[in-house]
Amino acid sequence: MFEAVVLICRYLFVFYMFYFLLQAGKCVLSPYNIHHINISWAYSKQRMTIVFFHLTAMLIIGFKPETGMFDIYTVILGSAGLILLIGGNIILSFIYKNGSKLLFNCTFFVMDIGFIMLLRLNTALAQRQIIWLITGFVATMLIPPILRVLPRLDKLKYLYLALGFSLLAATLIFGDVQGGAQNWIKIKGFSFQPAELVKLLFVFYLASEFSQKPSSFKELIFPSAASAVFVICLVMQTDLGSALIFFMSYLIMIYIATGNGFIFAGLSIFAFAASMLAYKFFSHVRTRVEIWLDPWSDISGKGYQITQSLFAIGTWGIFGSGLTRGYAENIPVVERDFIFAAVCEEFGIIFSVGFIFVFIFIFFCGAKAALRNYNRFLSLVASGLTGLLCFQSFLIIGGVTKLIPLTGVTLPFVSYGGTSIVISFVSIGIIQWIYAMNTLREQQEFFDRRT
Amino acid sequence: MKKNIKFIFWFYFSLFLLLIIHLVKFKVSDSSDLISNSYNPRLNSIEATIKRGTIYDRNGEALAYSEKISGDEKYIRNYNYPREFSHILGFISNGKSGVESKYNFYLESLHNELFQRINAVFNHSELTADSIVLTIDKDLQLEAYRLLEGKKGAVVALEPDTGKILSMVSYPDFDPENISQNWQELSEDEESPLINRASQGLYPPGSTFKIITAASAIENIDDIMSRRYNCKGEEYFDDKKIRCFNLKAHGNVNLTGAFAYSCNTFFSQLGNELGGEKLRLNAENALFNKDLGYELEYNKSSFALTKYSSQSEIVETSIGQGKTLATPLHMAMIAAAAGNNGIMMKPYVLDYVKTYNDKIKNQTVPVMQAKPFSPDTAYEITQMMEKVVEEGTGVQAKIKGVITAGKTGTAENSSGDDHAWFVGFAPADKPKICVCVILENAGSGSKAVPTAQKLMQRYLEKS
Repeated sequence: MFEAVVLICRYLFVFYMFYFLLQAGKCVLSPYNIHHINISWAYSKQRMTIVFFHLTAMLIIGFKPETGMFDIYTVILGSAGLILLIGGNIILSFIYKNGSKLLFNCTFFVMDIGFIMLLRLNTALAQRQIIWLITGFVATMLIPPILRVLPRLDKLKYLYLALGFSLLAATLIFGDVQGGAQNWIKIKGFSFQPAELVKLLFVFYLASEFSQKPSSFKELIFPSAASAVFVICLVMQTDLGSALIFFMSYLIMIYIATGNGFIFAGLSIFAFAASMLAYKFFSHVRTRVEIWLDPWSDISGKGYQITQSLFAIGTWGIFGSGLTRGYAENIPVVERDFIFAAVCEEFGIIFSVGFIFVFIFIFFCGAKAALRNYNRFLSLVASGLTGLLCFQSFLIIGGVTKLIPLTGVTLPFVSYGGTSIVISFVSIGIIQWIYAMNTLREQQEFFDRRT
Repeated sequence: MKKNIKFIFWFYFSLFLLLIIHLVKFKVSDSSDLISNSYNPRLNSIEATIKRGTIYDRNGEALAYSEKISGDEKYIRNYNYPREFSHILGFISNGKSGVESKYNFYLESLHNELFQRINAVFNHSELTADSIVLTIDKDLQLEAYRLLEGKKGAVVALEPDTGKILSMVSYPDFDPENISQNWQELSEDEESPLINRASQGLYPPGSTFKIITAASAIENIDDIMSRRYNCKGEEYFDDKKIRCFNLKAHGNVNLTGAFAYSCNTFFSQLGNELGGEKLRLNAENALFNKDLGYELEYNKSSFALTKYSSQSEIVETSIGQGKTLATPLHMAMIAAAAGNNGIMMKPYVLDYVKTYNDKIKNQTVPVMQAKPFSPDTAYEITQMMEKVVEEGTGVQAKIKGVITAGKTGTAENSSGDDHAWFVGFAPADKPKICVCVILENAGSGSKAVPTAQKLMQRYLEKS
């Protein structure tokens, strides 16, 4: 009986996703007056969808058919997660009064999907994820007051640079090796990934460097050299995913600042050549590419992870196996890098495509924040942070579906991982703050014109 | 700057679009081939709770089925003719092989899953996965097994105009029901009973390869049909001596005669004249070194000549010795192509999939795999193959009232006595069946002929 309920709920999940996206689409189209909607209603509908999604999933995960009872621990944990996410959404929307509600709804929806997946895969990790979510939530609440006190962020470029370098250097010297990359620092049993924090500093550094439009090529040399040092440090830690993300952030920010197509093309060619060299000289790069090209020949060894991921995505029908019916726990580190494969397996391919679309909506809001701004620095920060999240999501989703070679990075908002969750949360906070500033300014101008 | 930001986000947007397209494409078209892998834990756990699909022969007779033993929760797999079908059906424990492995996806998918599950809750009905219907003819398979039993070798029978495989037997065999208990012994056995010799066994094709050499001669040498040659039983090419079987001198022969009596000196002469490059072209047109398009386990046949090959290699290859290796399945396909106006069909065993409520899906449509011969060449070769049976080395293949075509082969090899080959089809003008038989170390090619004759005769009588 329970089996049949789980199977029916697969359609329900697809419906939730569809409904959520429908409301998101309406919100995006509303300024064009294509058809009139009550926009605050649409936001409320989205929040209700998240609640229903969460409740449905939680009840399925919590029910134990052997005993015919609900597992109290799972239900309590799930309820705590629900209260946190919905409460967080409401409080943050209040704090960032002029921010984008669509951005918060989408972010909280993907966070919720990630949390549900963790609850299903590993309740102990779900419990710890709650602590990380609270940390990220508090940090995001503190952003507006902090930024109000620190007015001239664009003048601190050497501070960002020094902090960033020292964090990376510290990782190189004191770092622990986890999952094949030396990118962790352990302090009193708490391990965190400095590279995540350095990402923020890096974007702020480049934004302040380019906050005056570069007038000659000479002015590009120093920031390029600094970026190269960052990337090389990360390659030395064998953290290829982060190295790629840093390079991409540098590439897009230099393009946005200069608008020079030749630089963009030249750097892309340079990156291609550099990756060929890396392929030639670093065995770990070669291994990654070889696994990508043919994981099947070493299916029990190096190809195990990616083939298990492909099995998870490919075995079931388009509605997935049904929540709790899959075998995603067979994929190594499914809670971190491979969480997308688990979502694909249990919620099905239609839901997963919708899931990618929710991400696209998040990036759309980020791009909007960058586009509406009059301040060059803030506009660069918004596009840098959005681009970072965007490329990171592409890297890992592309990696687990074997579109591109796998680089071990987390899926923002979704994967388990303290630093990742907190930093992506904070990034959204900063983007929201910039978005809110724009709204305020527009209102001010509107007011000025009238008086 | 706004323009630049827009450009970057359109760029990222297209990356995500690519991601979605890739994901959907993987799901729709690539995944079904990949997931039937023994490393996929999902398939094993599905097996325990649902009734694995039945495998039927072409006339609807069950070959393999699952049932629950009373009192036991798990399903077990039963085979009606375990040894006779061991290689073609394969097994499901110890990593799976054969049809059981390749079509595992169908055998474990529930049609109308939701309906079946709800029905199971209220009516306690079984969850029944899709069944598959093969092209194999059970009676022909049993007959082939009976004829082959005790002798190392393989038999393949197929339908030339569709590529349907009617029978495929390999000996030594194994018992799929007790595969786990005997696994160690089976996998270490020097006779390699787990190998399907019919599609995986690579043998020197011997004189059956003369079909290719003859085709190359017909297509490349203008006066070939009127050419005559005096066979003295042996011939020297450089330092390489080519001998006819038993050193028999065939005297003054033409192409048809040399083909019928399998004259090695004539054909090595032809090979020498054609050269490595032309022979390779014809061999590769007939899918040597190429994919056969067959879905189950098989090995590619190999042909090693190039334009730099030495004369001795060329003359050896043109009579099917040297480094040339072919599978019985492939030789059957070549002969079938000669009988089918030069068109080689893609061989297949899965006719269609049948759901629990008898709906047909995934019906295989016959497709052409290659065109090794022009219609004229195919006609000439068929004529020559008829002569083989009429008066040449394959007279034992004669069937009363039916014109039969064939070619024998005697393959020298390093493992002992010569392997005996026969490929043939009947009726010669519009073949309904093509058979290939190989008997390892049986001596001359004529030893394989009676087996093929009995199978063809039996099949034609029935249909």
